[in-house]
Amino acid sequence: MPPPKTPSVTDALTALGLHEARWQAVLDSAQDAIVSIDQHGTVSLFNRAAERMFGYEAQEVIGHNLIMLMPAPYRDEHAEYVARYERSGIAHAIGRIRDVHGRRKNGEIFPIELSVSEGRYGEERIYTAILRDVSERVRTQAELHNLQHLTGQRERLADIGAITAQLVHDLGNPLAAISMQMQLLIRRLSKGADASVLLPTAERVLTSIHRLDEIIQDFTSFAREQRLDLKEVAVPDLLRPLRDLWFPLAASRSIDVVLELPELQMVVRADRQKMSRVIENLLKNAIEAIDQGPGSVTIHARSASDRIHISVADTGPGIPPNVDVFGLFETTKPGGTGLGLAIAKQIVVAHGGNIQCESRVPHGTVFNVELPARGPAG
Amino acid sequence: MVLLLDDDETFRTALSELLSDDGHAVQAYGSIAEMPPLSDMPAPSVLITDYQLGRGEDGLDFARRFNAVHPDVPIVMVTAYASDHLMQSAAAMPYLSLLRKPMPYEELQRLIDPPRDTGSNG
Repeated sequence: MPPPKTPSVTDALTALGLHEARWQAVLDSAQDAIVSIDQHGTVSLFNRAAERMFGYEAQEVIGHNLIMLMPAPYRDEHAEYVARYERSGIAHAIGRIRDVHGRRKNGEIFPIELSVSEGRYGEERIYTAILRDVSERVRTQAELHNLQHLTGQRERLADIGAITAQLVHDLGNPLAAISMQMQLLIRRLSKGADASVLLPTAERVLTSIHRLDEIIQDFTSFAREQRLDLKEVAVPDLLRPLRDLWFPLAASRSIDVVLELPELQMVVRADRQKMSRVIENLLKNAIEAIDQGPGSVTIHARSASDRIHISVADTGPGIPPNVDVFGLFETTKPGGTGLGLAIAKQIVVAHGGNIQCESRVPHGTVFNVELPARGPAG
Repeated sequence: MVLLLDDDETFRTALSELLSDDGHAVQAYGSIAEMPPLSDMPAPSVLITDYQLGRGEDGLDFARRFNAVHPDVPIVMVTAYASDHLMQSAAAMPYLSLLRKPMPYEELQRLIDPPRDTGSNG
């Protein structure tokens, strides 16, 4: 039997050499900079990635204090920081990732993501830092932030542009009508026309002035913050007067207005006036969509858990696809300002509710309003 | 005959009456859809049309189609808002004059009845 083999000094040295070679390979191929220092801050290890990052050769750094790689204020604080850690054992960098700044040989200061680990051998301590240059990421983030800011600004400017264009258009048309009617009136007056000839012209001027006022009111209510006077409102009390108000006009066009209330105890917490305006707007739109009957508009209300659902359905032609009916200035009606449904949505959302449109071309449109309920009254 | 196209009834009525007072025959419509086909109509002496006609009708597009049928008839486009797009398009259409609403009637009149050549004397 051969005697057990005892490792020779040569074997041990070979093993050590291999061990070192392995570590060197790891250090050299690492993409992150790896820097080790002793408890005095003297650099003992500076890998290839560190050379690339800082622009120093390893021999320019090894044996020197780490602060040569740091800009102020880290530079002045580092010695005190290490001393405090050794005294108190409270670390700020060890075991966590920190964002700091480094200083390259050419003086450039750049952002670094830093993690530090600690090793001990007897009384000796060694701190090893892994450093990642995050300049590119920081720059990209800054660019992204700037871009978002610019986009926001551009969108706001585009909104202002669109609002101005729409205002000018909507106010300009009734103004032009008033202007033309007045020019006609002046000509007729100068020719000594009879009051019966002048009167219809004067009345048309007044109608256009009312139209102007309506547009101004619409814009004002859209621009104003929606302040709500919330009270418990019985849903039938909200819907019945609206149905009664619009029924005669609808009937004159052979359009039936049906109110379906499967439950009579439904209550919503709402600003009665504003919510009436929303439903009235939907009702008016529904009648205008059908234009001339036969047809019908159905207002339906139901409760589901803690929500009230009110729908207004018409048998009109439906809304063409690609129309954002709630978008500001979106309109499919001649002479429409495109404000009605934008305001309706604003009011519903202010109530904590939701409004949706379901177009069933060519079988009509359904608007669904969903509002938070507050249990049956009493 | 003046062909007038504007979806604002009050504007259309007043302008029609002023033009009639001045001795023009006027055919006025609120939309292209209401109008008989161009081929069924005698050529007017001038077309006055709004830019935004309501119901999604585009006055500029109509002006181009009209010009293809009646290349010698001048067109006056009236609009309350002249966007950059409209002004650029109008600049490329030599047969079209753009007028901003509201306008004095005399401005329209000048485009409809250009001052006659006073050089010849019968």
